[in-house]
Amino acid sequence: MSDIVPTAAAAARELIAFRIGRQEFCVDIMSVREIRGWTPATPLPRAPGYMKGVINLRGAVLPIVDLGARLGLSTSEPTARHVIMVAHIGGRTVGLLVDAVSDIIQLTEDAVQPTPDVASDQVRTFVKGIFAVDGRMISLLELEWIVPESEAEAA
Amino acid sequence: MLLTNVPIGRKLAIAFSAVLLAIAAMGAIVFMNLRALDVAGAARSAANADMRTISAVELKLSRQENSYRGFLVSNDRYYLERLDAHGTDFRTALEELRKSGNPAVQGHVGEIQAAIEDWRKNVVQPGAALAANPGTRAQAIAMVGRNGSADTYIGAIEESIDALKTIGMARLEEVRAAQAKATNDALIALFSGLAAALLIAVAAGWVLTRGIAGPVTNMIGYMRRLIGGDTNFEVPCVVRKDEFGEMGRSIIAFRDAAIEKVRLEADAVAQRAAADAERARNQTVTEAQAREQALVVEALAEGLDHLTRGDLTYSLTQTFPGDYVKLQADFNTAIAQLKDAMSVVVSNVSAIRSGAGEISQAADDLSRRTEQQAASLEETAAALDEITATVNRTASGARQASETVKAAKGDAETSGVVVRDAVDAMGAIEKSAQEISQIIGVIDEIAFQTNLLALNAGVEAARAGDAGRGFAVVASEVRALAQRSAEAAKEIKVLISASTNQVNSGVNLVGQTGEALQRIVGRVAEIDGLVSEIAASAQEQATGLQQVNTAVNQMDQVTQQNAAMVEQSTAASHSLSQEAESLAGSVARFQIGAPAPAARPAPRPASRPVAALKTVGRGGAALKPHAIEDGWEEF
Repeated sequence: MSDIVPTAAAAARELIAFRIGRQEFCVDIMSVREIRGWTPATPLPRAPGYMKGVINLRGAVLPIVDLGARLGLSTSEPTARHVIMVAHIGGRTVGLLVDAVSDIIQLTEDAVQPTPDVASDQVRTFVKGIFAVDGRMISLLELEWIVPESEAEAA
Repeated sequence: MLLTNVPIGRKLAIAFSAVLLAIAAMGAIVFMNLRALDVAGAARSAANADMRTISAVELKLSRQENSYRGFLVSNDRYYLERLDAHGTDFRTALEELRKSGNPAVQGHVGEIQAAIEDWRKNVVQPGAALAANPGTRAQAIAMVGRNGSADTYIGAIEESIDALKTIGMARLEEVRAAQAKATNDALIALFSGLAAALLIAVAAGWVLTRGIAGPVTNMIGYMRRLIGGDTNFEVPCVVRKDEFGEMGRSIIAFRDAAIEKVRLEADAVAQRAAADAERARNQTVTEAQAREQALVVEALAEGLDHLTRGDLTYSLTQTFPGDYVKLQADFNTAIAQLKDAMSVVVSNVSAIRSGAGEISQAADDLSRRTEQQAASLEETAAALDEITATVNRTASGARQASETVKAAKGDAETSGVVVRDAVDAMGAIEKSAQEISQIIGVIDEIAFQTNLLALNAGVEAARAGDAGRGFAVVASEVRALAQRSAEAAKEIKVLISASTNQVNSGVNLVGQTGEALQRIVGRVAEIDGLVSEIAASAQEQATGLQQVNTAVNQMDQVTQQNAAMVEQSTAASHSLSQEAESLAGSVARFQIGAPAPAARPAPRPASRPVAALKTVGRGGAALKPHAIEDGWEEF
């Protein structure tokens, strides 16, 4: 990790990298409030498929989004080794279920490469850019679109 | 049926039956007359009753007329009522008369009824009407006066009543006459019956006395004559079929027996005289026979003398008296048959001589072979002893093998216990590995949580900006440590699971080893059983061989005894040959006339036993041809 940290940290930013299946993603560390282990969620009726339900976070009701399902990836039933990242998105606090948190990385903005045009605007909607570091492909996610507006209002 | 043919009992019965029949006929006639008297009495009572009724009719007629006149005098209705009452009685009496059944009476009753009804209609009813009126009352009175119509009706009625009276009297007279006649008849029948019975009884008594007493007196006379020895009489009453016939026949039988006795005495005297004459005749015949016998005896003595000297060719040629010709023929036949028998004996003696030679030769062979057999049996017994020793060694070897196998079985069972212990130890190792796995899991959990805490610390440090920079470094180090411990835990987990697998396979193998040992134990037990059976069989064989040995020894002894006996029989056969020789010498004394036929049959029977002996002797002796030749030379 330390080797990733650049010495010239002019436009450096810190990111939290995590894994869903075999893919790696990252988000800005400032949007993350807390990282905790999986606890079973209470399902809500008539919620979309990627909404796993709600959990009790120190007295507050926290909705949990299965990030893999939301991104259209194959998912599996969560275990004790899964991780919830508590994130602050657009003034709302949401729990994001991921397989594992792998790193805290520090990168400069110019390391980001733009998302290639793959004939779908939706990809660009979710993925702001891609880091290619040491043979790893880490997609930078745009959290604003993770939770739709209507559901944000409902929450 | 004649009176003489009827038995006395039946005669008596006939007599009494006749008397009884007469009395019974008399009783029947008297009884019938008594019945007729009864009938006549009843008829007389009926006639008297009719007369009384006719009187009542007459009285009631006058009472009616009287009552009517009383009415006419007094014009009182009371008399009319009386008139009705008497009228009713009058009619009742008339009805009684009508019931008596006589047609003449019934005709008169009908006339009376018609007249009285006319009287009432033509006199009483108009009279009663006229009398009610004082003006016409005289007319009513005039109707019953001298010239009145009333007398016409009443006169007719009185005439009819007179007629009825006449009829009744006539019937009374008739009945009385019948009664008197019946009484008379009964008396006549009684006296005549008694007289008849008396007559029959007297007649039967006379007849029976004559029929029984007369013949008895005659019989007594015949018997007296018989006692006096007089048999010259006849009994005429034997033809009768009653008891006197029987008595007569018995007397005749007595008479015939007396005659027969006299005849038999005469016969006995005649026979005695005849026997004396016969004896005298026999005496002379016996003397002639004695002379003939002397001649015959002499001839026979000569024949027997020849026979004593063994001459069987002699025969009686003298002339014998007729009675003794058969004796001569029988003697000659006996001599001839004796000669034939002797011929057969001579030829048989030759055969016996040759047979005895064969027997002694065969006995020699038998003796030699029996000795060989005894020697072979001794060798057999020795060989059997060796076999018995070998079998005994086999049995002891089998017993040792059995004990060794038992030890192996014990060892295998101990190994089974060891295997079980090993399996238990493996189980304990497996359990420890599981516990280690659990501890590793705890360590892994701690590492995971530490990692999360370090990440959270990193997040907080990033939020703190430059102030948290150092803290971020510490957090990063802690994260690195946590990750290393997690990796170490993962490696240990892999190792432990591998060790668990190996322990499992070890347990499996040890289990298979245990099963294999169990099978070995089973097989060893089978081997033990088989070896025991082998030992038992060897023992049995040894016992059996012992028995065979004993049997062979017994056979040996028996063979020795046989050899001794064969020697005895050989000696006996030799003496038999000598006896046959001396028999031939004895037989040669007899002269049997033609020696050629006696010699010829001898070889023929002898040749057959020789051929038979050849087949018998071939089995054992190679010296047979010499033996036969020797045998002939010996004789």
